[in-house]
Amino acid sequence: MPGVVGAAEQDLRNYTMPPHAASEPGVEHGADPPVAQLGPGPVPVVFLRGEVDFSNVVELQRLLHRVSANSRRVVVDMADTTFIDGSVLRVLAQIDARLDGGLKVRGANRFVTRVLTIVEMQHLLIESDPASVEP
Amino acid sequence: MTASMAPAPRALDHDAFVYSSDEEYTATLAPLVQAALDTGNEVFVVVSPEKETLLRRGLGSAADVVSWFDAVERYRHPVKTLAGYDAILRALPSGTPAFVVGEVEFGGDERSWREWTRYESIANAVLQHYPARVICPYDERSLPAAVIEQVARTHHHVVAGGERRLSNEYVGPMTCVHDLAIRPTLPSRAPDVMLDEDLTPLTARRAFVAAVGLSRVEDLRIAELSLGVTEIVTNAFLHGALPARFRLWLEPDRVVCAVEDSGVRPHDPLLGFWPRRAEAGGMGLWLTRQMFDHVELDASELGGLLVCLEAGFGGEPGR
Repeated sequence: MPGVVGAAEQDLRNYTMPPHAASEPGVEHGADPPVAQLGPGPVPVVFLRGEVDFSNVVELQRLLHRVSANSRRVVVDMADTTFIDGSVLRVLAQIDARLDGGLKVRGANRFVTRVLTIVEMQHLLIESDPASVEP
Repeated sequence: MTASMAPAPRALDHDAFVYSSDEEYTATLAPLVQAALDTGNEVFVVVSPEKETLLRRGLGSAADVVSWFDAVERYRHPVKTLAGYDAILRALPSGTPAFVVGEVEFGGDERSWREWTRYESIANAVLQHYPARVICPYDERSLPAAVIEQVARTHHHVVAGGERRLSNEYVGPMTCVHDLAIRPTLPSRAPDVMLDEDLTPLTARRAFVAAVGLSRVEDLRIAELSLGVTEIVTNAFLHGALPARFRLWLEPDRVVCAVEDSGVRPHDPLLGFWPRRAEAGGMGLWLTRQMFDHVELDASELGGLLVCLEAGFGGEPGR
């Protein structure tokens, strides 16, 4: 895992979602803002951790909007994602449409793979190497 | 033959074919399939292995250009069956006419009959824009009268005794599905889980996983079902009103959940039956209907919507 840095926006390559950062009062969650991490690859990677649902998907949405403003490609790393709901699917579909098919998902577990398949978004899935989405 | 020669239907044409002998079955369907092939249709036949044998005999070599599917596999879960037909027809080049023989497996109890009759009606809405003629054979010898009685309400045409007539009794899916509403019956005992003031999508999901985790249900299945719970509780927050509550009953062979709110109930009886993809709204209930064996909507005593979710532990149907 690359070190956490307070890098300028244009240097950012990898981003990390904290585990269940729900925005509802009274719900247990970490209130940390998303952590930006510098990565070595040319394609930005957003790391999505833990359970992501309607209550914290806005963090993912903001990150992906920021990243997709500066890159035609983005990889969402779901190796540590344990749960997603329909709101996550909507965000992924929105950003993928905005990037003309430039969004990919790697590291999806069986559950995420199954859900993406049900909604006919399995074309987003790639093996773990982000170089495979190079233009 | 070319597709341009086909008198392509501009929208769905949905026929019921009521028959009472193997001879009638083959003598009626084989010429219709042959004519569809001759006019450039893509032909899909979804029947039981026994009926496939009959039809193949009637079709001869033409059977080889038909796409065959096993009805026993395809008719397990109405919402998945609809999604399957939607995917098949959507995959065809735009404007390609399709001819489908689909013989529903109605199952052996009254709830199943009602669910599949409802399916027949919903198909008129969900598949309405496809240039397809769908013929649904109904075997009078084995199906209960309660099922046969409904065919004229759920199909545009009825083929019987060698004649095809416009159905006068046809009613639109909105009306038919409303009439066929299945009132959920919740267990009368106290629930094993109850969340109200502390209810959120997260607390409901965690309570569900903790409770069902005690049973011998596979982790992937639990995760799928927990997605359904999440979607319905999220809907209660987004579209309903507080107070809301979540109750769960764990039984040896199934789990039953009730999600209720006190908002305004939706009036669309087709809610959550349309195959939706992520870019469209209203996907949560559709996803949930796919995950659970039974999803029924009713009025809640809280004043809003009651969504009843039920899943058996005997393996997921329709996978």
